[in-house]
Amino acid sequence: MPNPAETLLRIDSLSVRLDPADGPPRHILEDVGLTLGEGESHGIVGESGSGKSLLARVVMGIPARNARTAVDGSIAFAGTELTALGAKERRTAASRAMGMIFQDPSSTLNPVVRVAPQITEGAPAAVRRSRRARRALALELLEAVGIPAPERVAASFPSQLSGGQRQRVGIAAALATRPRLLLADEPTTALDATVQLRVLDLLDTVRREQGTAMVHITHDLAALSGRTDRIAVMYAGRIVETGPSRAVLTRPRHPYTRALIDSTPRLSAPRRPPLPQIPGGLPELVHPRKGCAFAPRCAAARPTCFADRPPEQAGPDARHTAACWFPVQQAPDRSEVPA
Amino acid sequence: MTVLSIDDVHIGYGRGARRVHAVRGVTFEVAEGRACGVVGESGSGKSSLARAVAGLTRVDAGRITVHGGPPVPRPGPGGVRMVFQDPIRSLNPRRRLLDIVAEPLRIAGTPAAAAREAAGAMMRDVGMDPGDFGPRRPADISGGQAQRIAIARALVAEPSVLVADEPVSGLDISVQAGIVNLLHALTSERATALVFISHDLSVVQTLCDHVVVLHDGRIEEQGEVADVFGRPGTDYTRELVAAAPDF
Repeated sequence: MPNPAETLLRIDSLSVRLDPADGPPRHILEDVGLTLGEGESHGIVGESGSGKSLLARVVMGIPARNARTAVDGSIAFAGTELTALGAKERRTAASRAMGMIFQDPSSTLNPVVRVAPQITEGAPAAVRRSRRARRALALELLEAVGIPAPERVAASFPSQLSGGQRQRVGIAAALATRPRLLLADEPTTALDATVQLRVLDLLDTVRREQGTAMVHITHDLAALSGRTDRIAVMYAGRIVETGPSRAVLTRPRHPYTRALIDSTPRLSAPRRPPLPQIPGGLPELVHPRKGCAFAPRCAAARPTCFADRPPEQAGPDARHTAACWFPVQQAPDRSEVPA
Repeated sequence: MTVLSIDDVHIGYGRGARRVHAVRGVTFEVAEGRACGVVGESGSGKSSLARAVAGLTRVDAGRITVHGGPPVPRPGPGGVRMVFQDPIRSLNPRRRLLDIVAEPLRIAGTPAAAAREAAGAMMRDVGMDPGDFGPRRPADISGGQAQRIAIARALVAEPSVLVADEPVSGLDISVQAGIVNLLHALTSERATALVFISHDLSVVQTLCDHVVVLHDGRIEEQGEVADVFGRPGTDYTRELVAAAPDF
């Protein structure tokens, strides 16, 4: 570890294979690397099947349903190698220092338990022992996440709350552990745009005030704009591009990121259909990928792309890299590429 | 020519003092081959309005007409068909995809062989090869493919109006682009009036000509998309536009 005082999470050469009871093994993650500093915010963008949610679950030590998980590589959190721990120690380590926010708070909150005890469930033992301390913490956190009537909400059942309120309760519960790292998996996808904006602002505030590091996983590039220090783009279980947020969104170097941005409708850049589409579909993940996984869908692909795994190439800014043989700037004119 | 006309429509649920007024006096029109976006937050009344246009919910007051007559949830001229947010759940899991697409024609009395042939052609129009996908069932396809099938089923008998309630939310960006392109191409080719319900302003801007902003069951403002989003006339619309994620 280069600077243990600053690096909070360091994922190195992480590969994850799922062995389902009823089917062939699937190589979901391949050789993923990610470094997150104390208090830093990192966005992970990808579509269904990119492996982004599994990555968060593996870090948290949440086992996959109906499948055996084979993990290879390293996940170091605050200097502890998590992959070396047993399942139970792993969960203890995660629950003490990490909090997770899920897409659909109604599926993670218990419908027959009132809000307050659900928030304090993961609180430190000293708090959990005292009824008064539990109540004080629940109210404090509800207030911190911008709930206007914390006393009423604390005594409510999840079904009595709106979707936005439930997501705030989910965030309050994730904060009860006083985590050093928050993993948010599509935290605002199920919410209205105006509520979405308020929840994203709330996460920013929490991060700034409490110095919590955050990994924000989403399929929506725009949700990350101006809110994360860095963005990593995932495709078919690999990180294909990573760099400072603004650079990735405005000067993408990987053809997949470029295509994703091109097919995203944006209010500030009105367009009429047809929107550019990415031809083809995701590869099956039953075999380890050969070459670049995006090559079959890439307009700039050449024979090398299908045969050899692309190296990570930095652009003019060394912090901005793309795993591509022909990054966007150097890509030949499309007309020169044989079909 | 005006196809769909919505005139001072009110919709409510529940009884007596607890009655909720979801839609309170909404008026707008959609012409042949035009696309009208309906935007607003949860609870603004947009889904109630969509269901009423499709003839699935009664209106308390006001009138909804398609080519001058009442909207009917059946195929053919004057008919209104709907596609929903969750495409896989909107398809019968036990039927084969070709049969699902052919069903509206069969209900309308088209002989089986002709219905299957038309359904196959419609599947091709939505980019799904009937030879490959026709025999499959909904569980064997992705969300984007299921939405294509739902659109094929809705358009196969050439309805006058297509109501799409959040048809692209929850789809991946690259899949969403394909569905937006498909809705645009098919409704403009067939001159179908499209009512497109969405919370995503940027998709509405891309696909629609006209937009209606709903707030608490009332129309906050309506007009050409470029005018409403480019120069919002009310604070509420301004807030919606400002909240839309962009980069």
